[in-house]
Amino acid sequence: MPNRFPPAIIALLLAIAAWLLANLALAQTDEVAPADGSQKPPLPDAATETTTEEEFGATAQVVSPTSGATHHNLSQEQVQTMAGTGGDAVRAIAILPGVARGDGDTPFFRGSASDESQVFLDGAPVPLLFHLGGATSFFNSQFLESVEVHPGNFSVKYGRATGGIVDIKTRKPRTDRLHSTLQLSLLDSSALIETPVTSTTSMFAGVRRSNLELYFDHLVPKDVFSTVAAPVYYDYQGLVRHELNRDRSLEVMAYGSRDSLHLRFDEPNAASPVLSGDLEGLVEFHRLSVRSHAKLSESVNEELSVAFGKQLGVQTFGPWQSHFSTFDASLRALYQIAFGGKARLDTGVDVQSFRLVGSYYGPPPTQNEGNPVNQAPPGTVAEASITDTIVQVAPAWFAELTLPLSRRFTQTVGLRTDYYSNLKAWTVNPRLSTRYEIDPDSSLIAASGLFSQPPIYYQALENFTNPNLSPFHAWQQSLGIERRLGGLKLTSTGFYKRLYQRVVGTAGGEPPVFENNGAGRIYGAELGAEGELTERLRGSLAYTVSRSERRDRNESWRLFDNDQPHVLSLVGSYKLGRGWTLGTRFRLTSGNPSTDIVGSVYDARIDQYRPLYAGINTNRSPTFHQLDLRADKEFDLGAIKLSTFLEVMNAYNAPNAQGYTYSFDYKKREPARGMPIFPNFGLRGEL
Amino acid sequence: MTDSVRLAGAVVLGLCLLNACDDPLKRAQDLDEPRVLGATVHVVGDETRAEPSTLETVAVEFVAGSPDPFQGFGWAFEVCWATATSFGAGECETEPFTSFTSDDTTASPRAQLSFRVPPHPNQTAQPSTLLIRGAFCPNSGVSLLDFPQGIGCRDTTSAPLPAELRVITNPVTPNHNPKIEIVHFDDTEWPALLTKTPSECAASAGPRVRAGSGQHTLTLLFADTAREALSTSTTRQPTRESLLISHFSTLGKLARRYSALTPDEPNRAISVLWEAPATVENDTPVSFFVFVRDLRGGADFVELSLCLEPSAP
Repeated sequence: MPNRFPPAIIALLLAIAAWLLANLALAQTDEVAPADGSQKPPLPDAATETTTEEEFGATAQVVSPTSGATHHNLSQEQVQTMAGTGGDAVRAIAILPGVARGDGDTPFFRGSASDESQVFLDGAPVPLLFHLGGATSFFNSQFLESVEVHPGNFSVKYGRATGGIVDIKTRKPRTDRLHSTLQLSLLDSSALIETPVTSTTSMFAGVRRSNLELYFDHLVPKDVFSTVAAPVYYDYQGLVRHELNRDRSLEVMAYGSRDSLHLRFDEPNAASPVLSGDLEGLVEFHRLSVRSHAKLSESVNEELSVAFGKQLGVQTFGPWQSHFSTFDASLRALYQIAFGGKARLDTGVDVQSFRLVGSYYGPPPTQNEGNPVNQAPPGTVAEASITDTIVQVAPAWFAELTLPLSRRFTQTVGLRTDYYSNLKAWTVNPRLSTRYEIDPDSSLIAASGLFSQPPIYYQALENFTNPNLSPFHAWQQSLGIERRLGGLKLTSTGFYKRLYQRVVGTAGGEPPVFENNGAGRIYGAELGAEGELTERLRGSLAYTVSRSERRDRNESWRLFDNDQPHVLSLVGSYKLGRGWTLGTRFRLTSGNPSTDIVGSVYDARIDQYRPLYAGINTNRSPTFHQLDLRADKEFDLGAIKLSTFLEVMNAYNAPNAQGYTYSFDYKKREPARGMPIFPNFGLRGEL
Repeated sequence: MTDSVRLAGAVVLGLCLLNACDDPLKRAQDLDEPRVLGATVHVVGDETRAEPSTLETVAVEFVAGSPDPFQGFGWAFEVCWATATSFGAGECETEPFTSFTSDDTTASPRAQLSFRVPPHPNQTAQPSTLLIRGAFCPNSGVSLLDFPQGIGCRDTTSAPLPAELRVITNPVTPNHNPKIEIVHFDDTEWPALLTKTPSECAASAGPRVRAGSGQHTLTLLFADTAREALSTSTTRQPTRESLLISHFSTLGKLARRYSALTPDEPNRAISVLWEAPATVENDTPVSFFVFVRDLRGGADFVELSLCLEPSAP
């Protein structure tokens, strides 16, 4: 299918040209950069990247992206004692500006849906970010160096997403001696080991398994269903790093994750009578990656990575079943070339591919977002079934030029081209950003760019959905300021996004089920402040105000399902001394939009009442607020370092109602309460 | 499909852990107010078939129920071709081609409709969906204007009970109605004898139960052929139907709203416990309504009653 270039892209290209010309003209009147090249963009030393020293809890550091328009920094100290995250660096993303309160999946960045953002681990896409829908992330934070968060206007090095990017980077194994750690908590248990092998080789390995089955039977109503297998998750990671020479290193990493649950309903569920019998969910993946860093010359760095692996997913939902296994492979090659003493070119290729063999029998697919029931009531529509083998290859090329036009102006211009084999479609994404240094402590940053994303694979299947779908797009603009004030870093960014060719359901779900007939508009501003207030006190504040709207087909504009106009988070930790640290996190966010039910009609075919809805997302759930508390204590016992923590989530047991629970005929309702107060206790010993 | 697994997990946990897998606000199996309970469909001339072909006559019966055995209902229904809808009430693709009304609120609470299936204006000889929609009104006639918002009862003190049914026409393979073979109450066959008054109750040959006598067992037996074989195109599809059984009682407590016979269930019977009320003052008839559905449009229905006696002094 030929690629389409909407007028907006042509307009953007013209705007880029105009902007470049304007910046060049401005540069003529500005100070000229020093001849010694002091404004040269930083070129990371591939073989000598900084290793984060770990202390108690998480060791990861959430840092600013190295390029792009947005900068949010969380220090290692803040993450490791952050209340409400269990010391999980990935869950700490939720406190950053531009990140809305999520539902345990990939976060919502600047009003975008979670499936419009991508998560990478060392450059390879991550199939499943969290265990059990948000309990903890799939990778032990002890082994992470950084979590880069790009809530928007990200670099051309990333693609296939119209929202934001999370790039999780592993750290190097420590080389001083053997370290071994055991950690126990209510949620899970883990064991880690880390050691030098030779003078040039080191490794780490870890394994974690959930503890839920120890008490899950006490949580479920035995008179309604029997537990065949309680929820269980585990993950593992192992990395071997070898320094080939001073300028080249090689890393081989294996990692994987598995979540499973198997229940059996003795009788049909009152809310959905087709749900009887077995309810089973299993998702697992295993991956092997090889990564090489090399400093090819004084001015050229090379980063190569290849990852391949297998995924398995099984779902049984009463009579409905799906089963798939996937082999996926990804390749990334990045070259960073400094030239002219001032400029840098980042260029490379990025290929993602998979082969999926699967079968499905269940309700026909429908639009999820903006659909109050997500799918037609069971029994009212004929089930859909498909058995298929799907192969997709998506290669991309990107180049990004960073030009210090003057001492104060730095211009970044990027171009990314993607090809999608299943759609037979190309996309071309131009992006640019400008940084203007007002003074040594303050900078203005402006960015604009086009971002494209393919439909989810099942939306574009031959003889099932719509193989003629096109990629959809977002045009993102942002303007922000960064300022350092003593130990504090302040950021403020305004943003505007326009979404077009969104994939939405057809009217009434008629074939071909999906079409490129949706639009979206998002605008807002975010404010962030973080840093050390005193030697002992550290804190951060993030506030985002925004509005996110969608239009399906030719219907009127409505609110996005997860539109949260106000998102506030406050985080603090205080070192009391004698090994004690206290941490707290407070979140206050708007409730998600909701759709009122104004009546019901009895459907005699299935003995269920069909709710009658008011306008979609015309009401809103109550404001969400939650306080999390955490206390850490370290004991230095000589050779053994013992640490313990007590964490209380939702400390004052706020109800945080999100929507309503209705009676079978929708005549009665009560607020559906959120997570109640939840304590977690952990113990950790390190040798 | 990873998305669907995550969704499944969230739904299961949401349904089961938060709501304990039962309606937390209202027990549907307790018939404590007037309600529509179900509908049956059959082709006139072949009562086993649930889905008619073009030009065949089809008989549809909507059943309402009430804790008051003498409750009268007016009703009105109309029939049209259905348009595809993702959610909410059914919508007509064409103007209704026939309608039925009864203002006789002394008649039985059954709306019996019979009509000839006309050719679909656009899809002749292909499977199409009929939408039959309307309402009952307790003790009142029905004003059927703009479905569903415009429905009202002529006696404005009554609340309408809107209901709808979709019927597939011209099926590729015929779907037959399941049939309830035998009903047992505490291991004794339960005759379908209806009683409404204490005197009828006292004279009834049906089951007699003392108030406060605890739990009793209602057992339904189905023919082995009740779950029809299904044609499958993938190994994931069930090879035969499931049966969903809905049961209601006007007094006492049925243990659950639904029972089911899944495709792989070897047993042909289902049992559900019913707990007798602790006290009644006089002989009191108790009505039971049982619907069985194959969730493809086929259904069967039986109404039964027993006599509840005051507990021994």
